[in-house]
Amino acid sequence: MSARRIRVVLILALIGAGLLLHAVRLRTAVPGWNERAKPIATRVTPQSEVARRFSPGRADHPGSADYEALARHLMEGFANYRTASGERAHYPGEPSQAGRSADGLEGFSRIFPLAAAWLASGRPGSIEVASGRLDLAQAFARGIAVGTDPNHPAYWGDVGDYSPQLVESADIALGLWLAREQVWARLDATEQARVVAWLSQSLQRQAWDGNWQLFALTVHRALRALGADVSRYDERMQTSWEILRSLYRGQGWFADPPNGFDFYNAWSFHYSLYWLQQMDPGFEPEFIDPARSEFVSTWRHLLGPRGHPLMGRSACYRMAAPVPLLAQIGQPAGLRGTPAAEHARGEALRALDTTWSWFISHGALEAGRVTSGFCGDDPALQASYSGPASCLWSLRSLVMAFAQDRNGQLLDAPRSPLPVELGDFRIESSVPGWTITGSQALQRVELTIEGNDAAPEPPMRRHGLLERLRESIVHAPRRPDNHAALYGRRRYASDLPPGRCTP
Amino acid sequence: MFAESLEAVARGGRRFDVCLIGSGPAGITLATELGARGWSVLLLEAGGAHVDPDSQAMYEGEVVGPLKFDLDVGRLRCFGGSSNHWGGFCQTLDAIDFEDKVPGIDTKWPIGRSDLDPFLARAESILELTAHQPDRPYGEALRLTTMRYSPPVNFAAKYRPVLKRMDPVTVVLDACVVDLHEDAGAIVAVEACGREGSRHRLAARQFVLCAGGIENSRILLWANRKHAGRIVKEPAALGRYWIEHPHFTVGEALLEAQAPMVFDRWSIAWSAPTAAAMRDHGLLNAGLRLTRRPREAAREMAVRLACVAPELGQRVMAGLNRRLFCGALLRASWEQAPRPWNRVVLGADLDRNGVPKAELHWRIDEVDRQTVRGAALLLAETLAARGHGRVRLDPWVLGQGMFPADDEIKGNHHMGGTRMSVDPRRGVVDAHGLVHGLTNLHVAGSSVFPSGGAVNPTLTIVQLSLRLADHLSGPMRFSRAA
Repeated sequence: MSARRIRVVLILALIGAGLLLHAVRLRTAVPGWNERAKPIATRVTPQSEVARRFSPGRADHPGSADYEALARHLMEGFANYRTASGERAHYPGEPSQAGRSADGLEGFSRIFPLAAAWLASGRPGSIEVASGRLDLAQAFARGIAVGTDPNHPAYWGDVGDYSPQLVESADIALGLWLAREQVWARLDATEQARVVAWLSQSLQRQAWDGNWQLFALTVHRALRALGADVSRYDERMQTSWEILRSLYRGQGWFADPPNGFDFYNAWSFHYSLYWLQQMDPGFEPEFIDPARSEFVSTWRHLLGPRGHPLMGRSACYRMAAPVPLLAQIGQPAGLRGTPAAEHARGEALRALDTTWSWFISHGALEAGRVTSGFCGDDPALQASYSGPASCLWSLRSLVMAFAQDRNGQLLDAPRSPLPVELGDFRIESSVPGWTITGSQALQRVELTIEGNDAAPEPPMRRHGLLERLRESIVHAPRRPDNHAALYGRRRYASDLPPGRCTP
Repeated sequence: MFAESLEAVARGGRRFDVCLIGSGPAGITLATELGARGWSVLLLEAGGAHVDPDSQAMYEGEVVGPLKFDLDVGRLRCFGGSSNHWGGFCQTLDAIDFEDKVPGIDTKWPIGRSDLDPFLARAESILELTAHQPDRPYGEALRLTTMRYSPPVNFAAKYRPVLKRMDPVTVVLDACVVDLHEDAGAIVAVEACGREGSRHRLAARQFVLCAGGIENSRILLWANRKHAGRIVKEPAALGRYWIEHPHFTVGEALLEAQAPMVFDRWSIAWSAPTAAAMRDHGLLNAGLRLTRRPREAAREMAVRLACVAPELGQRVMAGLNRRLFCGALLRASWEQAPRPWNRVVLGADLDRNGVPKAELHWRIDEVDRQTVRGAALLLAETLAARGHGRVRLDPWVLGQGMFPADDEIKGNHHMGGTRMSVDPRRGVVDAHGLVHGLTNLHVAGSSVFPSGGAVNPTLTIVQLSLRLADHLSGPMRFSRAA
């Protein structure tokens, strides 16, 4: 074959391969796959300052000023990544399968409750960011007004069945309720009507028969508390509640299908149930109060100064693990002010301090964002539905703390040691089938799932070159399925973090 | 008297022995039975003599859940009710259908099959059924069942002349019951709305709701709301535990000539798990139907089979040419797990009589998937183990994905909502269909089913109606007016 002919064949082969690649991407590519944001370091509240304030080695505990610095750092990150019209924030990181638009919505919605709790706590309405001052109420009100306006090019899109918008609507609704005086009140009547219309879609859409039912319930109670008439959806919400209630297995535990028992009990179920009660004090107190109390009696043993023995999905929500303890502050009302209540409050704050300190010192923050693994970024732990901003659900513990704090009264309150700091223990929780052991000397917590086989332990699969190559071909997440390792091991321990972790 | 005007009957001020609300198979069976015993019967039908779009629109409502269907399509609002478009498929419930089968799933009836058996022969006669064939065992876990076919009986056509001749029976069309009036634990009158909106009270000693698997709940829910809970005093179960028979294609099968399946007049071969298999495998009841496919479709199946099992595929292809194999679509309709959150509720929108439209909250769940998957796997394993064929199951059956929303989904078998139970907290009516807490309001029809087995409900509806007629007119119960 002549050289010319070889060249022609090669060119044709390249063209063919290019066409094939294009055809594949037409079927698989996630919108906006290549439009990745670049990391922007926070300058006003730099990461180094936050790391110093939350250094595990500091002699005293972080206080309100330190948590405010952490929140400023995170909100400065939001300011750096938010869009010109303010309705999204495009954080750097691995995109989700839902695409750039939905990922950007998460970047807005998942930090909004923190800003709302900040505002609700009476803290300054504006913070200093690299570009000047950010008026939080104005920024979020504007973003919501734009995002819910179907005629605006940056509209968040209709809420569909099982859609990302359905998930995010719950955080938008919660934030609006928390900052009702600062953000909701700032919207004019037309904007409020559009917000109600957008959020109300979530009350009519299909959600998975598990923790997803909490999204519509949160939206419903928030809208009702904001004065919107959502009574036509009351029966649907009752059905949602009954489906959720059917997942309850006792001792505060919900079995979320298809995964069963995992940390979602803390940062999804008990987080949302807390807010449902805050928005609607009459909401199932006979069930929720004792369930949370029972849950906390076990959960508190999992949290220690050297991290926690995380198992299950969404490992990057790791800093939200103290949520149930924070939800229990001041509960039951009859015990407020008693030594027992003060100890519980101190323990919750200690859990908050140690969790944030340990994870910040292990790569939890990067360029004004929460990283997407257990320590730093780790795509092996990132579900394909998770995008660059998904892990902002880690802020749920901060949301709860700021919402309960007035003038530093909570965050500066005395701390009480965690169970593992007081002594060795062995706790059996029959409902999830978990045994939790703690070693005071090692500051180590171990979780044994009694129903799992001792050996062989399912290995964690890496997000390696092959996955990278596949992603570069299809322009969509191709992350390893680590379900077996995250749920099927018998032993999880605070010193055996899932995925990669630099000590 | 047939098609008496509502105004005329109300004006007469007559107090009937019994007022039957709804003229489907349950209402007409009760009317003929009680009328034949000399009871003065008032049979109210909300619709007219025939299907009419305007009347049918009153049945509109919304299904809230992932799988949608139209509430005004599966049931007919006219004399004869849904028997006007009934297919005629009949089977009796299995004895195990009256029991609990799966721990945690409440399928128990307060009566047993033996309580319905005495009414089988009369029901068979009413429905003009083909002869009964006993089930044949197929392996350890399955049985080959036989569907019995009614011509089908159209109750409107068959019983219109009968009721016309029956003096004690008064049939009123276009009489939509919109309220129940109670006094001292008894219903004293119903309020019916004429087609033009006029409202009239009608009195009787006994009342029976026979308005169907959605309307029975809707009427009671509405009356209970209007009368602050005085109709169903313990309403915890009212409208709830609503069930259907989910209908889906689950795969396809290639059957060898020696397979013992017998294809009936609809080209369907029926099978079901045994009672022991249901208990052993944690399944509710399921009806598996192999529907014979044309030869070209069977050939396509063989080609697909050849991709995964070349030798077998070649053998099947050769067998197809010699007619040793046949291809069949595997479909299933199964017993849905009764769940309290599957329920009829009063919607926000009103019909033209001012009554809230029905909103049906309905979904099928993992127990349902477990049932259909378990039953289909039993068939696949039994066929393979006996060398009778091969089954390919659709991915969703095996847990990969959702129930397909574009399939048949349901069988138009509306059951539950006013279920039977001895416990008023778990049911609306007692073992005879009497509403707990009242002395003279019964419910008839499939809405009283606590669970639905896997068989078409009409035969059981007629059996229960005959039993209720005997109960109402029994010597120790209620004598008709002197």
